[in-house]
Amino acid sequence: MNQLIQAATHGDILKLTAPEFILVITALVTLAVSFAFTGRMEALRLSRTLSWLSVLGLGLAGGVLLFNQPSGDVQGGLFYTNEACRLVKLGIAALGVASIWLHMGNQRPFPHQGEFHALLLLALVGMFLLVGADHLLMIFVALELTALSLYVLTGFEKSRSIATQTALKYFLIGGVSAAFLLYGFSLIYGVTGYLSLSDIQVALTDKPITPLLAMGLVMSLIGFGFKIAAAPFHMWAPDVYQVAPTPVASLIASASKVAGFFVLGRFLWGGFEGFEGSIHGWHWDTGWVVALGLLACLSMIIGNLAALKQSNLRRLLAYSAVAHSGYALLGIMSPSESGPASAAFYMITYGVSIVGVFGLLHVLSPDGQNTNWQVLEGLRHRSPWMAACLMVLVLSMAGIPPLVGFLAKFNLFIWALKSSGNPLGLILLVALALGASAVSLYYYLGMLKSAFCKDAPQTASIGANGYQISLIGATTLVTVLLGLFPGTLLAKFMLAFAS
Amino acid sequence: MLAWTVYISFLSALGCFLLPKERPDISRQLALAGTIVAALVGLICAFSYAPVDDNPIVDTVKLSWIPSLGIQYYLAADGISMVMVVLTGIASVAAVLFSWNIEERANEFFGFFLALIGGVYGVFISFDLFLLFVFYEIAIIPKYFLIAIWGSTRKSYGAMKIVLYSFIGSALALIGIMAAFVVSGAHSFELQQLIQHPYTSEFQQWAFPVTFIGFVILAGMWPFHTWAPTGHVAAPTGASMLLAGVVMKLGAYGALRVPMTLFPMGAAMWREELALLAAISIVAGALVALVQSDFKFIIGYSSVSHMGFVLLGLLATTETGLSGAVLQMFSHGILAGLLFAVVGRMVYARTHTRELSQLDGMELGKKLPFAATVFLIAALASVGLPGFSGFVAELHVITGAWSSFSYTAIMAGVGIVIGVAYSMRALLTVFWPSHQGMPPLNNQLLPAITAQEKIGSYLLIGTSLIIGLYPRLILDLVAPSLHSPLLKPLISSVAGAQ
Repeated sequence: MNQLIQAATHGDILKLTAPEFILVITALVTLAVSFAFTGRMEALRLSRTLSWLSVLGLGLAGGVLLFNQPSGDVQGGLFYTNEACRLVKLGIAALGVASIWLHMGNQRPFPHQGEFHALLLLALVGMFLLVGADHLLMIFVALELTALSLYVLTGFEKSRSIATQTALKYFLIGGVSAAFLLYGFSLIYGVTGYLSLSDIQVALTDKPITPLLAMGLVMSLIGFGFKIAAAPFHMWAPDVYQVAPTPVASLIASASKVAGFFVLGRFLWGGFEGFEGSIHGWHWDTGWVVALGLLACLSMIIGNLAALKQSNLRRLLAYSAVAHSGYALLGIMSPSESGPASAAFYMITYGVSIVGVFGLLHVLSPDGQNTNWQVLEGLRHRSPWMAACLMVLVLSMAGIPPLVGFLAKFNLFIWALKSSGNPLGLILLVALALGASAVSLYYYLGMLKSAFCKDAPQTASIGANGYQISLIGATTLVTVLLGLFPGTLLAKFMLAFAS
Repeated sequence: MLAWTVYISFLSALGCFLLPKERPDISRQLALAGTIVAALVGLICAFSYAPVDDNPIVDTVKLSWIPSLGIQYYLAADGISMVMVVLTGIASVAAVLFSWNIEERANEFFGFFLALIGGVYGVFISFDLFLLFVFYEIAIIPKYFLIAIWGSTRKSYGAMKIVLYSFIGSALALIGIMAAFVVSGAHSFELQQLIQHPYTSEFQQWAFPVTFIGFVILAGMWPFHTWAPTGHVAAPTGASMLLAGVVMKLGAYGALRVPMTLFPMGAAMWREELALLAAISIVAGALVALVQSDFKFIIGYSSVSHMGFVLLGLLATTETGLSGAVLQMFSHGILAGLLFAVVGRMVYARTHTRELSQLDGMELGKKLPFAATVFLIAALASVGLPGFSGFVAELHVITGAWSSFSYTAIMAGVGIVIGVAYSMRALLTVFWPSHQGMPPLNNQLLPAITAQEKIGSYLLIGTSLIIGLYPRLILDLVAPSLHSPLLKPLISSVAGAQ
């Protein structure tokens, strides 16, 4: 299980990329099945079959990751796997299953189910590859695989004109960001002569930072900023969260962000260690940590302030997600290995909560058209259990103990503050993050107020099916249990990233 | 065994949530049973509290919780914790008795109520700072719902204000706790471990005020006190009793336990400025109470004034001052509960108004003689009538403050005089108005005082009387803690500075 492979043959490559292979094959199988059975099978049944197939594929991939995944890399540094990659991929697979589960709750699936599932799986393949990428080209290709699939999925309900419009907006902004990224990568290649991150690191050792390299780094950071929806590159997020089909929105909000953060940490610490500069209180030395600090500040402030004014819950979640990206950036900025580990833990646990909230919104507004505040009103009357789940999930996002959101945030801040040479360097950013959390409590409590303190405009009880109930229940349970007993998993994360 | 105070509270909370909402009577009985059992557990532990040798801290549970950060599930108690646990027990039983009239969504009310109490117990018996903080935050959220759902007068606004103030305060406190952990380099959040580290005076100079202010926001220190009157007024009676009675104590207790214990040098640097703020709290709270037209706002501001005594006692940082602070926490916890009970349950629930101008014509002194008597006793006790707990507490605080900063003691004395004035004003306007002979505006018969109200009143008055007559019950518990390694550096650093 823990053999180290320096892949040279096709067999070795296959061993290293087995989970990705399984997912690609599953994607092709879903396409084939839908091609064979469309029209011959009732639409709902077909859709459920495809979903189960996808879940099966993800489960198999997860099984391989858990039990039979060697560590190692493909020659030339195109692709690698280690303990940390495995854990993060498992997290992504779990969040992917949750998103598909969300889709299974759909009673009236839209047409072209085969393509929908195949694209969803391909997006996940892209995320998997992204996590294992150690090479600028690979990073770019994987990012684009994910992004292109998500553009199509966002506009999947093409009968709604708003969907097409939003998908186009997402595509155009995403395209521009890809251009930034590619331009940055090409400058880096031009300066160093290498594409593999480890080679770049070696080439740059003991070299001063040149203006050209700085420009390349800044361009790449802008590109990544779009992908993780950090302010000021977040403007696509609210529209996409609002309009995309619920499972897609939840995938964008959870798994794709996890992958984005992981690769950002890998890119910066794997290729550009030594150029990070530092922040200490009000003082700073130029480096990419300062740039990340700027992104983090803007994300926390803009995200939370904009969320205060939203009337649509999905847009609110999008802005709050921007703020959460800001918090997680603090983890990437930390010079200890535990920093990125805590950021990954944070994003995965946040992903669980937000998938649960999307599940709830899906129940309350099955067509996804109306997700204004009113849908929450009187939820307590209509379904006390749903209201209780909403409370747990939302309070976890707000960072209230003993839920996992608090613990993940606490862990993040501790590692942001703790660094051997420069303890408490980021304390002002941490203080800002805590202040921003206080602002966020205002709108999170507002959601709970609608659910618990207002009377329902509609008193009809809620018709949720088994898939929806199990998804909401499971995410809530994970949020509570991981909050109470985080020890083992957290230790695993810390250990995996340290090696 | 002490840990069961927390478990019983949370389990009863869970039980209440699961009960049917159509049967408020079962929820009440469960809540009463839960609080009584928890209070008894607390009392038994307090009476059997026996520190070993020099170490006043008696461990209850100590388990590794989150090893990667060195966080332990560590419940323990010293004498100060014991006093606070007993206070929480008595105040919570009384608050349930005075919430007997809650009919609407009673199961949820008592659920949130008990969750709040569980968090409060947890804070008082945690010696791992992470755990302490967890309980501290658990106590924030139920307050929001208790006020926003069952409250009165601008309840949404009051609920949000109280929660945001609490949360911002706890965020400041958290910065201090995290910084202390990171700087110490220790792999533990245990208080006894952290105090081993010699924090530099530059560090203490900023860490102390940040952490201290973070905690005392919840204790209602001027100028961060505005949440307290608004929140107390908006809250339903039982919740105001808890808020004023025990939740404000969380702030004062946290300030003593965390910043003052960890950063004694910082305390020595800042205590004069902060003691002045505490003295201003006493006077300003009392002055504002003097001009309120809403009966409950008078009590709300009087809480700010009385909590000022607690803070002044803490900041005097002498043994007398600290004992006085603990005594005053206990005393105010009991008496504020009683005052809110009279205003909210006995008067407001019957007359549906709290405006002094309207209560003025109702001749409540004749209609509700019991309420009038209880209010008289509570008001006199809290301004320091000898024989009740308020007297010994304020005497200790003023003596302690005198030896540190004599002008703050004078300000506190002025505060007591104003306290007499606003209490008498409220008492005379509400219960015994002077303009006899005018026809009462509103002559309907008010419902009689219920048995629960009477029992609750006797319980609180009795407690205050016992402590007033025999304060050594508390002082003997507190004394070993003052000589413990936790607080010794604080007291000696101040003594050395003088």
